[in-house]
Amino acid sequence: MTTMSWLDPQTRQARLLTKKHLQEMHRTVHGMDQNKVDMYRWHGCDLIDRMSEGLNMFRPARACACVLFNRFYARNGFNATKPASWDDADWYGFLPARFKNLDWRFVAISCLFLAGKIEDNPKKIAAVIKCLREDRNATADLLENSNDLMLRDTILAYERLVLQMIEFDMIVEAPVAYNQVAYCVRLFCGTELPKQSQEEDSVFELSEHGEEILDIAVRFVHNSLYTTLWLEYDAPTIAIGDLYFVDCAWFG
Amino acid sequence: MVVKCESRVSGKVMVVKRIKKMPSVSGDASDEDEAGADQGFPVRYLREACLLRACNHPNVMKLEFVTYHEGQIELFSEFVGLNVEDYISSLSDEYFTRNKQKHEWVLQLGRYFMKQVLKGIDYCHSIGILLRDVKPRNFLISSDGTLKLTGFVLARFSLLPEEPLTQQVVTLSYRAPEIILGGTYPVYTAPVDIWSAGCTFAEMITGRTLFEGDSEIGQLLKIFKLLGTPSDCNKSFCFEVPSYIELLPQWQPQSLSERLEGLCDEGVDLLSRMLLYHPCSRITARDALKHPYFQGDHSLMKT
Repeated sequence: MTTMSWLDPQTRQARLLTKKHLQEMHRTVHGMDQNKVDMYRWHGCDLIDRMSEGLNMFRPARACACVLFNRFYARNGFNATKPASWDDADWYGFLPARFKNLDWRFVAISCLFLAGKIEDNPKKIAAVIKCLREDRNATADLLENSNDLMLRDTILAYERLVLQMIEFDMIVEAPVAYNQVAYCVRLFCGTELPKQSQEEDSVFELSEHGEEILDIAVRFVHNSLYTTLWLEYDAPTIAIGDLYFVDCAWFG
Repeated sequence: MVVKCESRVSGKVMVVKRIKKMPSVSGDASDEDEAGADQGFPVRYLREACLLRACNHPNVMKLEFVTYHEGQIELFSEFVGLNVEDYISSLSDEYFTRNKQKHEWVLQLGRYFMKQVLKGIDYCHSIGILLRDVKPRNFLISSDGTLKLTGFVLARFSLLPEEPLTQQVVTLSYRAPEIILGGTYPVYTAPVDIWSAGCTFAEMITGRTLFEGDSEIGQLLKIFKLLGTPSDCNKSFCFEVPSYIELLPQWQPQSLSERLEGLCDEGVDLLSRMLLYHPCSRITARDALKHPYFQGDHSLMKT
């Protein structure tokens, strides 16, 4: 059960993007340098990271939010003022008047809000807004002259936008990767303890290296969320690749 | 509100489930409570939408698309038909009495449907979806006799152990004993669906709900009355059970074949494997499909 993929084999190809598409994305979709795109992506995921910490959310929800964020921006430019596939007429009046243009910070926040619901870890929107107010560095200019109600309407409008943009395709595999990595590490470095009795499930104990390797591997998964890796591969592939990487680093 | 409609573009007949959201509080209220009144897309339907979209199997209902406008959500899914519960209640008593030709037909129908039920559940488990609400009402019968699984409102992604699972799942009559006994945060996973499928199976054969309790403890008594009170509770449920269970009367297990009149021996064997107390020893959906009960050609006889 631990090594499965959410993706149905038949729809897998349609859902994942090709390498070529990803390499040209900064030109075709965003219309700016690769470095700049990376910077925006990093800041977006970093904001999600800090918010999820402030909200005390579990790891799966955070991972899910990062992937949703990347998925959203696989179709829209980071500096665009409106979604790529929308007409001006639709876009006009969609958001409250204070925030006219598409803003990556709101996209990140609504992704987190949505991911909390998907991963059974929902947070009240009032709590999200409160956390947003505490995080002054990134969002100071957003918060000027805006009350809670306005922020709420904006976040909900963005949530609607994100849902429509990713076409309700919200199966996110990232949370499983943590488990899969742990499972693989257990296979490689674990030793089975002798069973106490017949009924008990087998207990594994990691060797000394094992725990360190697990730690590095989990951090790799964590950092992979800042990249477009999850748009290109499915979870088992990433988990196994990740382990290979760690082993190379460990054993030289 | 559920409406049947026909697409002008593709000519497909579809069912629209329309959900009205609570009207959002607007105006100049700056109170924090009011700012928290509207929580966006409801979690239940978000779950249903994203899980149904991930599925692609002939025995799972297909969700065509979802629209979400200001305050209104519409889920467009394929049109299937009657659900199994309504279908059973539409049959007369004659179908469920022993030694009638019509009863013979019901037994065949039960086998035919059960195979599809298990196929649908097996598919969902294999891609990591825990259904948590398997019951006759959630199976729809299409015009060509295919059964479609629906009701993903309570389902969840996975068997991730990170967060505690809730107790308030599965309609009471189909709830597995490990959920009832597990306290506020019970530990359970895929076998709960198999228990519910077993109850569904029995209901399809007899036309009555197998265990019909009015409360959690009543439900437990009904289960023990039929399957026998377990002699060593902690051993049979693989976790600590509340102490009141020692005070329950000691029933002997009754024979299932008496309760399920006319069902062949293999069917009774399958059902008894699906209704085992210990979740780990309960049969899985995939093994159940390989059970001798489903071997051979069982095409449906016309009435």
